[in-house]
Amino acid sequence: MTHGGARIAAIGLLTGFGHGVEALPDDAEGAAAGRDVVPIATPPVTGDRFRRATRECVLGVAAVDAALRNAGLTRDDVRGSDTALVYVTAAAYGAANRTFAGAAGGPLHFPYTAPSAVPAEVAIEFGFTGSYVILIGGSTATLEALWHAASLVRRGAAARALVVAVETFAECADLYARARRLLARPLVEAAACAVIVPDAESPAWQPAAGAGPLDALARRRAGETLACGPLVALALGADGRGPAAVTGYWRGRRTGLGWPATSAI
Amino acid sequence: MKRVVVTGLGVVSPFGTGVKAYWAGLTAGTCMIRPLSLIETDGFRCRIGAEVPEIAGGSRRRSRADRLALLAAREAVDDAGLGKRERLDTALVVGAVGGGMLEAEAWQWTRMRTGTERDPGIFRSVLPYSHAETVGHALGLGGPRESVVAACSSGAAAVALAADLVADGVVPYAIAGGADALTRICYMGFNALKLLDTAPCRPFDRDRRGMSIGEGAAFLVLEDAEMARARGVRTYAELRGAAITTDAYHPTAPHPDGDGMTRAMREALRRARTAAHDIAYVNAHGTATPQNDRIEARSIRDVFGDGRVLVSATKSMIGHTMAAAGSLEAAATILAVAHDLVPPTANHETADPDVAFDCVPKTARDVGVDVALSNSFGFGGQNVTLVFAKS
Repeated sequence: MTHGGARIAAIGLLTGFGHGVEALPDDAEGAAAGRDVVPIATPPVTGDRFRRATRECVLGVAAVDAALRNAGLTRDDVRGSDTALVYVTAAAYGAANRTFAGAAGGPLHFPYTAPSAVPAEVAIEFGFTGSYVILIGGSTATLEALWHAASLVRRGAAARALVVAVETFAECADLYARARRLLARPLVEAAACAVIVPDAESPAWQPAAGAGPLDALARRRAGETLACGPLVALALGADGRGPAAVTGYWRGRRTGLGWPATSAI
Repeated sequence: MKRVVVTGLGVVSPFGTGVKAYWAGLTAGTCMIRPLSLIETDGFRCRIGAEVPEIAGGSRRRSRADRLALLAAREAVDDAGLGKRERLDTALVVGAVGGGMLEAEAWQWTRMRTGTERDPGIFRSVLPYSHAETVGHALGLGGPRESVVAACSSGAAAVALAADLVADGVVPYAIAGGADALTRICYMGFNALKLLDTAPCRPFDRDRRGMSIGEGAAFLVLEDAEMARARGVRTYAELRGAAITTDAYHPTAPHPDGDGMTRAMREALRRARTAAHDIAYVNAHGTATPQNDRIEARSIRDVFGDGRVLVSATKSMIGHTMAAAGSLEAAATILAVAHDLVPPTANHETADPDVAFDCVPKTARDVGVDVALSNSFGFGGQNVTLVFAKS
């Protein structure tokens, strides 16, 4: 079954400042108080299955749980092949690679060097067996992820799609210090998940000459969250007043994606 | 939805640079898995792999993987005859895993062993999205630019996502594929997991003992069929359907019943509006690990029944090229359709009673191939199936 389009039904958000947009300060730079990296507390998880999983995997699971809560969905509602999973990150595998390359990790840690370890653990935890996409990059990759998720829902390939983004920085803070001029500060660790469901209208690509108002707001309140940025922006724009347009900028390229008025979260 | 056809191919493989060398090597059944020279192998159980013999051209300031990607993508674009104007409307989707890890490892190891550092410029190309940036910038591609990281199925996933962009009318053209260079971390990791055979790998052989690693790159130019007709260009094949599923079973091991693999094949056939009995050839993921091949063979039997479909494994000749594997194997499948010739499975000596199909051992098979299917499966149960048909 195909639909006219897709909308964002809910967003779950965790950042170094706390849970949800409510936890975001008015001024991330001031709240960081000189820290280059604002780390995120690892959510408590239960079960032996996560004994080797990285911090990034646990954050991905927590973001999905938060989004499901906000969408009024249970784990049983989303289990199976009707739920597509689209994952995006720019940085949340650096720590695992560094650990393994530095011989601190054993062979059983090797699989966690792959960025795909996070969505794999998320899929296992929630029983997602449907369409599955993993993109790497900053905020432009998240816009691509949102477009692919909407496309899967619109074409009827999934009843719903989750776009999950995770970014961590703490373990590689010294390396990021070398790239100071490439990334804004503070680097704020984050995990976010958007629930995309069928609707009448679809998101559309838009030209973006500069950062849009939502992106500027997200940057001011949440700091640099890389791939989580557009989801932070959409969560901040979820006031139901009209269309939400987000832009992304990553290593010299800028893109924009507009969500129609009916897509208020 | 628009029909999507393949109008360009580009390959860099252990057979050398170019589609011609690749197809000649595959159809001759030549195994390129040899002692490794690119990385130190002292002390490791397995000391072989399939290296690209020579990378023609490209700045040495770029990572080896970036150079592989650029060479293959350039050949594909030239093959399709995409000019500057068309390239501005061209999407780029690249499957990546290792990125510039080979060079980053050298930097890190020098730093650890000597406390000194050399060329911090490697950080420009260390991350997997470097391939897309390098190729997109060098070829002047103005459409969406995506990097897909789905472990060993990355290259095939890139093709599937690019096809969506063309089919949905976002762009009329897309360049899609994957690239990976050999890296120590990959070599060490698979050695540590004892997944590498000390001899060249033997997919679907009763006595198979594991995989061999390799490197390379392959890119396809996907195009709106109407646009290709208007341009009057040759089409190799139609990409008739694609599907991506996940097992949700284990971070590394495939589902023991092949559930995700089977669903990927069935869903791709459904989207292709093609019956299983219309498939003449399956290019298998075929890693030669006892577990993968047993489960993939079972899934293929579940979908196609016993005996009829021809199945071969490209990895028997060029090893497992990680992020490039899915696109290199897609290229092999497309060429099989275009030439009505099925490349063989090299090193196949003894039939496995659990494998219920003809593995095309050692010698290419001259048969009609109207529709063919390419399987790619990755760590964490990431399953991609592509269906190609005569256009």
